[in-house]
Amino acid sequence: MMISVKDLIFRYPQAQNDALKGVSFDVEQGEIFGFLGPSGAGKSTVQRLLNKQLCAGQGELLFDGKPLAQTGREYFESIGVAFEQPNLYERLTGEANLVATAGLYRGGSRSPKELFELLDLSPALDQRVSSYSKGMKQRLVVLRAIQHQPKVVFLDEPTSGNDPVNTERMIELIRAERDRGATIVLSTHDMHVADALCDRIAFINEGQIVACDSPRNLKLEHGQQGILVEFTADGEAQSEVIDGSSEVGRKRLDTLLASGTVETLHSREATLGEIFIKLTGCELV
Amino acid sequence: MRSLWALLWLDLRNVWLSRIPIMMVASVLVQGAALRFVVPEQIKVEPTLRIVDNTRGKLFARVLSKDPNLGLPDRARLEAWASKDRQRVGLVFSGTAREPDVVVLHAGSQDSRAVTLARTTATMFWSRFTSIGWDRGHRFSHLGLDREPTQFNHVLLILLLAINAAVLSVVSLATMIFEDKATGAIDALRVAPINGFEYLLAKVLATVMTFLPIGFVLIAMVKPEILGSVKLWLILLVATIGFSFLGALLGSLLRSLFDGVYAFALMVAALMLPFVAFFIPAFDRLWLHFMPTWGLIYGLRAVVFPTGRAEDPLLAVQSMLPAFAVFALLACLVVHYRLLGRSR
Repeated sequence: MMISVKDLIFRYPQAQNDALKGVSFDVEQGEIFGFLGPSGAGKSTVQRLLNKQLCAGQGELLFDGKPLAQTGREYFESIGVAFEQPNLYERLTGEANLVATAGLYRGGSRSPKELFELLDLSPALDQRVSSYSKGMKQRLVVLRAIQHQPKVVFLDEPTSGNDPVNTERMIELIRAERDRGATIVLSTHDMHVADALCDRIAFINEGQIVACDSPRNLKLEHGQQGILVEFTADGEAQSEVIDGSSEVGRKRLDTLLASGTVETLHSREATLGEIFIKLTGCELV
Repeated sequence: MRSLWALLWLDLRNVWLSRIPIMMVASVLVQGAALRFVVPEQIKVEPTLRIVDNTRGKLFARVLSKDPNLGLPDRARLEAWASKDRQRVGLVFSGTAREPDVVVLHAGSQDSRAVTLARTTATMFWSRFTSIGWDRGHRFSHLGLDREPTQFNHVLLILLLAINAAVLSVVSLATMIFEDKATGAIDALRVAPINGFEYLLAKVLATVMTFLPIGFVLIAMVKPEILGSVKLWLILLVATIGFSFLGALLGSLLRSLFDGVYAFALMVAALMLPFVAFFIPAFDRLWLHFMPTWGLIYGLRAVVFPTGRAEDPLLAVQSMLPAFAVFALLACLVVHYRLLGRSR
C-alpha cells in the first residue's frame, strides 16, 4: 500500500467545524486515485495533509507503510505536487521554471524540451510565464510536478483552464505517469476527468467520504441504467429516459415504437455527477 | 548544497529580472552624481556669532546674523547678554578651515544644558564632523592646527553607504519573500526537498550579489581610492548579510511592507537613530551602541577617514555582530518552522 489513511480528522485554526471528519482510504502503488467533490468538500485539505503542507490533526497517515510524520527530506524527493493555483515564477521562462525546480531534486530529471512537447507547449519554452494563458500555466505546473519522476504525484484540478484537446493530452500524460509506475492522487470536481482517468474514486462531501470504488462499480451499484428515446409528438422533438429493466418501462418503449414517431434510441448509463447527487444531495460545483 | 545552488540561481534570476536592481542602480547613480558633482567638498564657514538660549526652557541655537531682532551686532554686547543668565551662551566663530577658533561665552564655572548644546553646535558647524562620535568631538581641544579639513561629500558617502546597505538589504530580501508568498511559489517550495536554512541563505546571497556591485558603483563615483580596502568590503558584506536576515524576519512575519507599514517605519526609525547621533554627539547614548547601524556607520567612518586607532575595527563589529547573530537565529527559526512549515 503506497498511502494509507485512517480516521483522519482535521480542523483549520479558528474554524468552527472540522474540515475532515474521519476520512479513511488506501491508495495502491501505480493506481490513479481521485477525489471527486464540490468546492470546499475537503479534497484539497486531504492533499495538503498528504503532502505535509498542513500538520495532521487526529488519525493515521502512512506512506509506504511508514507514518508520514516520521518521514523527512526523502519524502519530498519522492513526491511531486501540482497545485490548483499556478504558482510559478512569472518573470522566468517556462524552461527556467523547470530547470530551477529540477535542481532541487537528487535524481535525474526529464528535459524541459521533452516535457513541453508532451503537452504541446514547445513554442512557449523560451517565453516568460507571465505571457502564458491560464491553461498553459496549469499545464506547466503539472509538468513541474512530474519532471523529477516522483513515486507519488498529487494533482489538484490538473485540467483546470484547459480546452478539451489539451484536457485529453493531460489525461494521456497522467496515464503515462501511471504506466511508469507512479501513484497518482488527484482532486477534481470534473466528473468527466475523474471518470476517464481514475482507477478508483472517492466521493467526498462536507469532509466525509460517502463512497469509494471504481467508476464502473459506482455506476453499477448506485446508477440507474436506461434507454434514451428521442421521438416527435405533436410535431415537436421530445426525449425521454426509460428504465428498460422494469415492466412499466418496457410497455412505454413498446408504445413509442408502435407509434412510429421514434427517431433515435440510445442506451444510457448514469453519470458520476448524477450518482454524486443521489448519494449526497449536492451538485458537483 | 545542490538545493542551495538551485535556489540561489532561481533567486538571482528572479531578482535581476525584477525592477529592484534597476531601481537600486538608478538610485545610487543619482546619489553618486550628487556627491561627486553637487555636494561641495568643503563647507565654507564664515566667521559669525551664534547664541544658545535656554532661559525659557526652550533650548535652541540660532545664528545671530539671520535674526536682526536680537540686536547683538558685536562681541561686547554678546558677552553682556550671555553674562546675565547661565542658560545663555554666545558662540564666536572665527579663523579659517585650517586654523579654526571658537569662543564660548557663558556665565558661571559649571556647564548648563545650553553649554552642552553650544559645544555640539560648535562641533557640527566648525569641526566638520570629524571628531564626532566615539572620541566625543565636542572637546574643543580637538580643534587644532594639525587637523586636515574633512571633505563633506565623503562624510555623506559614509551615511549613504550605511543607509543603502541597511535599507536595500532589508527591503530586497523582504520583497523576495513577500513575492514568494503572494504568487504561491512558497507552496511549491514547501513540498520540495529543501530546508529553511537553504531557502534563507540563497536569498541572502542573492541580496549580497545584488547590493555589493551597487555599493561598488557608489564608492567608485565618490571616493575610488578606497575601493581596494578589504575592511570596507568586509564591513559591507557583514552588514548586507546581517540586514538581509532582518528583512527575512519581516518578510516571514508580515504580508507586505504596506500591510506592516507601521512596524516597518518603526524599525527604520530605530535603525536611523545612530545616524542622528553621528551628527549630534549629545544624542550618542550608550544604548545606541547596540544598534547594528551604529557599528556600520562608525566602521565605515574608520575606513573612509582612517585614524590609525586600534579600537576602530572593534567599534565596527561590536554592535553589528551580536545584533546580526540574533537576526540570523530568529530568521532561520521563523523561516524553517513558520514559512516552510517544517514542524512535522
